[in-house]
Formats: sequence, C-alpha cells, structure tokens
Amino acid sequence: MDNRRPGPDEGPEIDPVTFSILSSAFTSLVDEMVSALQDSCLSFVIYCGDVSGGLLNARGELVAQGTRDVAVHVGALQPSTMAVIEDFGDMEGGIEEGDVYAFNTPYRGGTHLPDMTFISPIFWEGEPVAFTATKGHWSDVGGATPGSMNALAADIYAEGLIIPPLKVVSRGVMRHDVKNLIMANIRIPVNSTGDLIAHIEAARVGEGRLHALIEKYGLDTVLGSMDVTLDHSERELAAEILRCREGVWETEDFIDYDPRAPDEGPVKVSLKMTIQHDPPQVIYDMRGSGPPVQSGMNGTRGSTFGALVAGTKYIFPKPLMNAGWLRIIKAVFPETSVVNAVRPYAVCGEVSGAYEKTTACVQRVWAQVLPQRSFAGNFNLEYVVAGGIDDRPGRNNDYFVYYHWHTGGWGGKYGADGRDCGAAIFGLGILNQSSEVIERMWPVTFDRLAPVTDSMGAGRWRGGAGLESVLRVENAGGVRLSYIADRGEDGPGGPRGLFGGKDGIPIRVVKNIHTGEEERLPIYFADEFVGQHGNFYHVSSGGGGYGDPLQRNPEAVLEDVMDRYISMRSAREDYGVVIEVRDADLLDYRIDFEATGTLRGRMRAADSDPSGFRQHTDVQEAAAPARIEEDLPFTRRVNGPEKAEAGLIDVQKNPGQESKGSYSMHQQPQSMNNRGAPKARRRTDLL
Amino acid sequence: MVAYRIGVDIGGTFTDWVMADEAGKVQVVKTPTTPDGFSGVFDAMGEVGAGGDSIRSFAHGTTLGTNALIQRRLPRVAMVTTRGVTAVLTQAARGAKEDIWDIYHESPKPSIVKPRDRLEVSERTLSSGEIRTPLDEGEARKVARILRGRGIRTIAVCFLHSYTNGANEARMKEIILEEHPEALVRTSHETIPRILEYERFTTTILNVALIPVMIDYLEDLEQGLRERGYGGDVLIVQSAGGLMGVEATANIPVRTANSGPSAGAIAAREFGAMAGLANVIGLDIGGTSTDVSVTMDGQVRTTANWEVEWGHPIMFPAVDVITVGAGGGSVAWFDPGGKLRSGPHSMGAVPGPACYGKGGDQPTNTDAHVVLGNLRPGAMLGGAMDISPALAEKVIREKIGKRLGGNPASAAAAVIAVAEANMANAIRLATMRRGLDPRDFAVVAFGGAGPFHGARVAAELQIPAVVVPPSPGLTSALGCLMADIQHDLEATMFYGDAGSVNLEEMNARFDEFDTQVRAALNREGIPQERQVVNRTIDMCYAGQWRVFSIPVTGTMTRRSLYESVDLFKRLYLQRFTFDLGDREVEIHGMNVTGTGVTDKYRPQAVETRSYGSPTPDYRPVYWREAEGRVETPVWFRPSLPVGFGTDGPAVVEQMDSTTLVPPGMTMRVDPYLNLVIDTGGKLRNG
Repeated sequence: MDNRRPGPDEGPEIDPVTFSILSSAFTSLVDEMVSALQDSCLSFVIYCGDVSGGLLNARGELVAQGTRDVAVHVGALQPSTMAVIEDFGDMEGGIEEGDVYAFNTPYRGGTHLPDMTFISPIFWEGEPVAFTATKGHWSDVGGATPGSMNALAADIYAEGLIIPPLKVVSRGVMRHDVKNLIMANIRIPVNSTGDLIAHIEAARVGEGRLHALIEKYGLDTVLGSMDVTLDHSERELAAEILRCREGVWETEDFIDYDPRAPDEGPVKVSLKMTIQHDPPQVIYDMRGSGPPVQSGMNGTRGSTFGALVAGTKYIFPKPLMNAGWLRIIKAVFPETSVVNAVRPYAVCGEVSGAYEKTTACVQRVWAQVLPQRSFAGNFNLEYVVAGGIDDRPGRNNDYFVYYHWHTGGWGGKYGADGRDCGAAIFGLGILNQSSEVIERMWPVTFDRLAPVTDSMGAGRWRGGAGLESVLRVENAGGVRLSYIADRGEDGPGGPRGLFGGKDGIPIRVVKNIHTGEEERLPIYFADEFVGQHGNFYHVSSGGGGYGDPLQRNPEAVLEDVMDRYISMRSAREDYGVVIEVRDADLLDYRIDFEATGTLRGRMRAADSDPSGFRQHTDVQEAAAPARIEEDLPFTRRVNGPEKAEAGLIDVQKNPGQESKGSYSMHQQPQSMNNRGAPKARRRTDLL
Repeated sequence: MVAYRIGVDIGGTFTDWVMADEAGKVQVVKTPTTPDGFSGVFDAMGEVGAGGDSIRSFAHGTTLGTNALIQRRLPRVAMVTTRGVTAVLTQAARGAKEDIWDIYHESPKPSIVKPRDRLEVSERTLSSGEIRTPLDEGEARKVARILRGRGIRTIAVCFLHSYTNGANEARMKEIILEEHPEALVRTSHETIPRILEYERFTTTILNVALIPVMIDYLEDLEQGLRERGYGGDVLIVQSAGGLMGVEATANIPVRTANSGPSAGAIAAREFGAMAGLANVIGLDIGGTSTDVSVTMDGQVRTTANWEVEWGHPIMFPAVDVITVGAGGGSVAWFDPGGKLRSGPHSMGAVPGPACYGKGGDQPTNTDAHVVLGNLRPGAMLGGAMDISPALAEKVIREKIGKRLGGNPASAAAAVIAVAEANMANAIRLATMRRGLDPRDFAVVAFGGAGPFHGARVAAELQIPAVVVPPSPGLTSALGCLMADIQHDLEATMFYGDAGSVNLEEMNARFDEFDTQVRAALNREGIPQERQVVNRTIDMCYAGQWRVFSIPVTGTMTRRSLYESVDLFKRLYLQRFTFDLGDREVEIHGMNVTGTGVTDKYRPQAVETRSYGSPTPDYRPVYWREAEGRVETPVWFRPSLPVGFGTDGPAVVEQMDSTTLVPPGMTMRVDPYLNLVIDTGGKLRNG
C-alpha cells in the first residue's frame, strides 16, 4: 500500500474551505458518472433511474454516493468493492489501472442478481487512490423466468447468472470471451451489451474527474479530504443522535408467507433499536427475525443493512451518507435468517420482502423517538415482469422483456397527507415509466390506470391513494408473467397506520378481470401464462394514516370526497363527517356540521382508546436504556488475519455459504490493516 | 431622425431598459419595476424623448409567465381525459421526488388541476395512431355542460397517444366550444404533439393556464406602444432564445416561461462572438442566484427537459440554464457537522445583507466583499446605496470568524470561496454533466455580481479567459436586441421504417409547416430573403426511445430518406460507440423551424481615446491568493481606453458592478470595451 501517505489521524491539515469544495466535488463526481450511465445505456429500466453510483477510498470504504441514487443500493457498494479487493488482492497486486470488474453476488454485498455492479480502480502516477462503482438494474440476467424475477425460485441458481468479482476489462481492454459468456446467458444481449459499455464509460468519467481534482489540489489533499468527508458525516449524524433520547425500542413486521410454503403463515422480521449517547450510536438488532424462506423473499445481510441505513436516512436526510455513517449505525444479525440469507437461498424478491419489512420496522421504532420526522406505512413495492414474443408488425418476432414498477400510496406524516401514487420508497430517484412509452415499446395496452378511492388508511393526515391498473396483452405470443409484491389480501394486512391512523388496503391481483375467466392470483407468482387479449389487474395499497381520523379537519374530508380520494361512506364511518350532496356534477356539497359534531361525539365515546395508542402497541419501549454488549456477532465475524479461518468456520456452520467467508460492512482487507487503521478511533472499536 | 432599437428586461426588482441607435450607441435606463409592468417603461421612454415613430423594434424579456407559474397565480383549469386513465397527473413527476430522502420536503406539489376537475370521456387511440374507440359524443357533451355549469373557462383536452392522431381530441374541443362557447380550450396534440403523457399533459395545462394571464399583459403593452405612435412589431424573448410576435406568444405563452435567463444567454453568446469566441459559458450572478448557460459553436444550448417548478415539466425547448442559489445576498452558515456552507437561502433586497443596515443579521457574500475591500462603500449604484463596513465586519466576525478562528478578512475570504465553489459546481453541471469540457470555453461574466467572481470561478475550472461586458448589470436587456425571430412546428406521425413511410403525406406535411412558419414570419414583417426554414426528421431504433433529429432538405424521396437513416446510424454510433446493427430504424416525427434574421444590435468597435492615461486609486484589498491584504490599484472603468492592460491584483469599478482581477492574472480592454481577463488557465482547442 502507499506508505508515503499518512493515515487518517495524521494526515495533512485540510483547511475547511478546501474540504467544503472537495466534499461537494465527490458527490458531483458520482452524479456525473450516474448521468453518463443513464445518458448512454440501452435499457429503459436504467434510463428511468434504477441506478446508483459511488466513490470509495482505496480501502473500499464508501466516500460519496450520488444525490438521486436508489435507496436499496445504499449499503451494497462498499461490500461489493471489498469483495473485488478480497478476490483480486489489493491494488498493488491483481488490480491494475484500467480494469473494470463486474459483480452481482448477493451474499457478498450484491442486492439481487439483476443489480449489476461495475467497479474500477483509480490510480495516480502508479499509486492506487480510489475506486468507483456504478450499479444498475439490468432488465434480464437469465434464469428460469424472463426478467429474472422469479418469486418461486427454490434457490439462487433458478434466479439467473451469478457473477463473482469478474474482470471484464483488463488494463483498458475488453475481455470479449468474458463478455460473451455473460451475454450468452441473458435474454436481450443487445441491450445488455449497450448497458455494459455504458457502465464502463461511466467509470472513465469518474476517473477523469478525480484525476482533475488531484491535479488541482494535490493527491494528499484529495485523499485527506476523503477521510475528513467520512469524519464529517459521522459528526453530523452523531449530532442528530445526541439530540434523541436514549432507550430501547422493539417492533416486528411480517412477510405475508413463504411462496413455496404458504401454510406456514407469516414470516417474522424483528427489530430492536438501541439509541445510546456515549459513544453516539444506533444499534439495530434483528436477531428475533424468522428463518429463511424457501423462495426469493429473503434478504441478504448486505441488503438488510442497506434497509437499516436507508430507513435511518429518511429520518435524518441531511448528513451525507457514506462510511462515516457506519461508525454510528451498528447492526446485529442472526445467523442464516430471512434477513440474512446465505447461499443458496433465493433472494430476487428481497426488496418486496425482507428489505421492505425492515424499512417499515425502522420507521415505526423511530416514530416513537421523533414522531414529527416519521411517517405511517407506505405501499409495498411490486415488480411486474413479463416476457414473450412480440408479434407486432416490424418487430421481427423479437423476444421482449417487460419490466414495470407501480406507484402507490405513501403513509401520512405529521402535518401532511401521504403522497398519492408515488414511486416506491426503495428507489426515490426512479421515474415511473410512461404508459405511452410502454405501449409503444411492448405489446401491451393499459385499459385502466387510476387512483383508487378509499385505498388509503384514514387519519388526521391520511395515507396517499393507491393505484389500480389493467394491463392487457395484445399481439404477443407465449407471454409469461411474473409478479412479486407483499402485503397482499392473504397476508396480515396493508401498510400500517400510525398514532391512531388506519391501515391502507392490501394489494389485490387478478388475471383476466371482466372476461368471464377471472382468476384471483397470489401475491407472488412466476411464469403465469397470459394469452392474447388476456389481462392482469392489480390494486396497489394506499398509505397508512397518521393520527386519529376524528381530528381531521372536516373541510379536508370534504375536499377528499370531491376529489374522489374517499367515499361518502368513509367520510361518515372513518372520519365522522356528515356531508350533504346537492349536485355532485357541480360539486355542490355541504358539510352538516351539527350532524358531524354529534356523530364524532358518539364515535369518540364508543372508542375505548381515544388517544389512539392501541394502534401502535406493536412498538415496545423498554423501561431503561440498555447498553449494547461489546461482542456483536455481525462485526466480529471477520477480523483481519483470522479472516480465512472465520470463513471456514462459517462454512461448517452454514453449509452452502460463500466459501470465501462472510463479509461485513466493516471488513477491511488484510492488506489494509497495515496502514494506520488501528489508530482510527471508532472505525475499529467493534472489529 | 434617429431610429432606436429598444430592449426591455423586466426583473423582480428593476426594469432594465436599453435603447440602441443605428450607430450602436446605447442609452440605458434602470427603473424600479412597477406592479402594472409597463408604466415605468413608458415614462422612461418619454423622458429620453423616444417617440413611437423613432422606434424601429421593440424586444422584451419578461418574467411574468415565470412568476405566475412559480406563485401559481393561475386561473382554475379543468382537464378532459381518456376514461380510466386518470392517474397520469396523480403520479406527479412520474412518482419521483425532488429531495429523495426528505419525506417532509413537499416537492413535487400536486398538479394545478384538482382531481375533481379531471373529467373522463370514453375514447381510445393506440400508439400506432389507430382509433380503437371513437369519442363518445354523448359523454363529451355531458362533460362540456358540467364544465360550463362549474364556471370553468380554461380547459385542457388530454387524451392518450393524441400526439400520433389528434382526431378524438379535436372533436372533443369542438364539442366543448359548441356547448360552452366562452371556454378557452387547448388540446395536447395542438400544444405539443409528442409522446410522454405526463409531460405533454402538464405542458398543455400550464400553457392554457398562462393564456389568460399573458394575453391582457401583451395586449396592454402593444396598445400602449401603439398609442405612442409605434407601428412596428412587439417581440417577446422565448425560452429557447428566439423572438416571437405578440400574436404567436399569446397562443403558446408557456414558451416564454424561461424568457429572462434566455435573454442573458443570448447576450453571453453575442459578447463572446465579439471577442472572437464561439464557445462561451454565460455566468449571470445577481442578488439571489447564479444562472449558467452554455454557447457551443455559436449556438446557445437548449434542452427539452426543463421546468419552472420542480416536477412540472414544460416540453418546449428552453435555453439550458443551470440555476443555483448563489448571489450577493446568499447567506453563509455552518451545518451540524461544522462545515461552512453558502446559500441557497438569500436575504434578498429586504432586509438584505447586514451592511445595508436594514436589519439583516446574517452574513452574506456582499458583506464578505465589503470586509475584503472588494466593494467600496460608495461604489454601489454610483453611491446611491449606503453601505456600512462596520456592520459587515461585525456579522462576519461573529457568525463566521468565531467558528473558523483567524481574522474577519480570512473568514470573509472563506465565505466567498465556498460561494464560488457553488458557482463552479453550477458550471460543472452545465458542462461536465453534459459531456462538455469547461476548458474548451471562455466565461462571459455579467449581472451585478458576475464580475466579482468570474475570474476565480473560471480559474477553478481551468477556464482560460473571462469576458466582462461594458455594462454587466444591463447585459440581459441587451440580449433582447441580439436575438432572431424563431417559429417551430412539429408532428409525430409515423411509426414505421423508411420503406413504409408515406412520402406523399410527409412532404405534404412539411410543405404545410413551411407555409405556416413563413406566414408567421411575414406577419412579423420579415422579408423573404431573411427567412431561413429548416426541416428535420426524428428517428430512433425500434424498441429504443432515444430520438435523434436528422436535418433534411427539400422534398423527400425514398432515396434521400434512406440516406437520412444512414446518417442517423452514423450519429448514433458516434454518440454511443455502439452499433445496433441491422435493427430497424423507426421514423416518427418531423420538425420545421423558421428563422427570421433580424437587424441585431452590435456595438461598434471603439477607437483608442487619447486623452491622457488613466490613473488608479489605491486601497488595501484582501486576496485569498496572497493570504493577506495587498495595496491594490482600483481603476475607474469608464476611464480605461481600448488596449489598456494591467496585471492582477487589480479592481475595476463602475456604476453597476465591480470587477476583480486576482494576483497572477492579467486584464486588458478589447476594442468593444469588454474587459478580457487571462486567468492563466490552459487554453484548449484555441
């Protein structure tokens, strides 16, 4: 490693102005990479924003993410980069200037297989200085079902091509044999080849930008600023945590069921949060969570940790997210669980399953600490993926893969209603795809696309409206549809209300609605055949409500009736507001204030728990703050020289786990332990 | 008799008014902006004796549309849409959020059309243009009557896929007008016939909403000028940098929503051209914001993706302006982690920076300039603005110096450095994010505060040269006198390959557009020989969505169409370094642009004046490059002759601005009285 360079605690004094300038430059560098990727990719999914990027230091620690990056990718770039370092040695060894590595292995820091990550080292005058990474959801990575989103996959091998750290560009030269192997396993190689090239170009953009910064400010200053950037984020987040009271809170949520074992009932995701001030830390303990399921609803440790970090970021949106956060946010995982799946457990639906449940738990525990920064439950992410033969004129009977994500309702929050028909919380940078473009690109037609009355939970601030759609197959053959969601009609319920707010409705999916051959579908299915003119109907949930609906301003209830967000029945039964309709066409409505007062009085009297506390007793608060034990399995598992051994032990404990050993967000490759890392204060105290 | 060209730029605080005679001599007037918009201008015209018959042209950049959109001072608008497909507007910004992490940051706001006013009718057009379900006329009449009953007069008709076949929309409009004759109705296909329903519907809605807002204003303006004897055309600066007459503007007012910054971008292009530069970055820094535009190869760069309010896109092209909250009034502050930040919050004009003494208690860039000695207390607006150095120093010392340590001057230098980093980032966004290398450009620095920062911001990005126009604060108004008239029309017609295109139909449509844009130019008094009409065809690979516009000429034949397809493939390969082989190329759109070349204002080169050599005053100025105060020469700009040159450090003062030349740079006065600063950056590509 570069021995000339001082360690983080003895580095050059970076003046605050240079630091301010460089730390924003790091973020804009990542934004430039991501926009280069979106500008030149060929797949519509990446163009619509299912992408992210990062700048990482030579140790593989995340320094900066982009401003519009997908939340679920948050925790993944750092362990992915570390996996490359682990397999190819540090940059003085196998990793060379001009290399680009492809990677998607979920258990080592990937998310699900379609999320392809490309990692490149950056050198300066022969010295290794940093890595860049970009990650994009490819529309297909092979496997049993078109679009590689196979909820019923019994193991990872049914989900698609698994790519360990793999050198696709060696010293600036594309390895065509390697590229051809990848493309041979993918349904639409032409798009994926274009995307691959776009990822490589993005890496060049990042390299050029970092080189320009080094030229201007000098290597030591740039590297020093990377370290200070982490310290700064840590300080910002620590300042926020110190303003919260110490304590322990506990909650749980449920995946509806295991798609391959529906009779076993809901699968538990459990979260215990400890806030402590000295040192300032938030410790998330997930050890109460259930065992892994035999299908793709599991989350890997990397993605679950991403959910914990992303969930926390929603509460504290301002501090720049990077490895500095990992000195504050700690996590404890159970061995082999639905939130910590190991090889060969399937994971393609993790974002709908374990990830989404984890973020929901994070919101609910924080609602107890900072009610005015929290929000009620959001609609559950859905994936609709179809593939088949495009029989339209001029399309050469091409194989097509259609991938779509729906919008839905957001939870109500303090002072405002939830968002109506917003994009999923897993990826807020994402644009919903235009239905006109979808109808043009794929052989499908929308018969309906509308917000749904009464889909949201009532509340003082109601949830946002869900969406219903009818998608019809036209001029296509052999169309197979796969679908992954959660919080469906056969599960425990829709997105949960908060502080007395009601729950949103669960998701409902139906095949061939209004055709006489109507068939209700489960919340997860794969390879469902849809014939010519067959259709797929779905209703996404509205968000949960926030606060007692009886406290909602009657005028706001009337507005919602006029806007068809709620029905007259809901106005009366949920909100206790009596509305008289004089002429609906002309929007001539009146509130009967007297009847409303009477009705609300009667409803309050009937409610044994007018404060609404009954609604959130699922969050337990411990009497006294508890200290975290020093020994955390998650952070102890891999530690410097004992790494290989620890890996072997893991293999014995968990047959099928990655033979390279588990990774940890805190893991530093062995070679890094030579330089100054032990001196870093919090960086190592849990290792 | 002298004939004047008049350019008027109405901003939020001041109305800038420039009057150029045929010799290129300019008179300038700055008046406070009046609520009714024009009375101040008419008064000013009277003062300088500019009677209507002496005016040759009148061009105007307006922020009326922009402000109406920002403040949502708009009439109630209803939308009639395809039955069942009512979620298009509900999915505001197509589901995205402006701040992706802050759930409490309410952006995008909902559409201006409330859900109750989104009415449905049965109809369906497919992406192929085929009408699967004709408009249900019974429902259509019922909807029209409901709208009349509700008293809604401003109506947008927005059907799916109308960009490829507008028949159902057109029929709906007829029916509304039959049932509700007082209504103002616009369909989405006549507004902008382009794919992407959220964007097209939003553009249509914002446009129809602006018509009642703008039409009175434009008519009052025209009438006011006519009453003063002016018989020529009144031209409005469009978002994309061209001019249009009142009639055309009143029809599509949403095209003026970027009018103000657009005039500045034109000026940057022209001042760059004077200095012999085809590639320039316009850096317009005012009291609250920095607007960055890019001119490449003599063309102002435009974008089809822009908006006034986040998440409410306007599909018409606009000058690609990056705006960041960095200006004279931007506030410096510390974030919870202890990092020094600047903006976007601004103290505005009231209470303004602390040094104004009007109660401002936050440290701003202007305060920092006063502390550093960059801004002489008596220099601002020729002494019309009173400035207190004591208040500036107090606020910098207390709010910044205490945290950073060191003296107030080094604290003030830090404030400026952070603000300049934001300005440099705006240039990065406008160049690097779009694949351009800023070192290929020169900076044109204008606006009241542009000349303070231009040299350093350019140096930060290794940009070699900075041009400071003669009147930085009036540069945008001059831009109004430097634009051409432009009209454009487009259609989305086909989704087929070159072999299946109906050439007769295509040529007929081209000819029709040709006639239309020429008629518009004729109405605006542009003679035949000054009319330039260009045609392009939009193409993309089948199954792809990236569209390239390929220039074509004359009547299309099968052969010329195939040649255009080849050109498309070459351009695609150039752009994406990736060949899609024999994949089919779809031809689906056509555009016609008509340009009326105007007599633009061009300053005349000035001969070197010979009355003595200018002498500077001296005062101590803090330079961050020298890490301390240096006794610095301060020049009075009107005294500097053509060819004058000096080395930094130097300060150049004039009524509406102050230019800084930091140590290590040099400055000279060019034949048009621009200051040209050599930053020492490496010049690339000449």
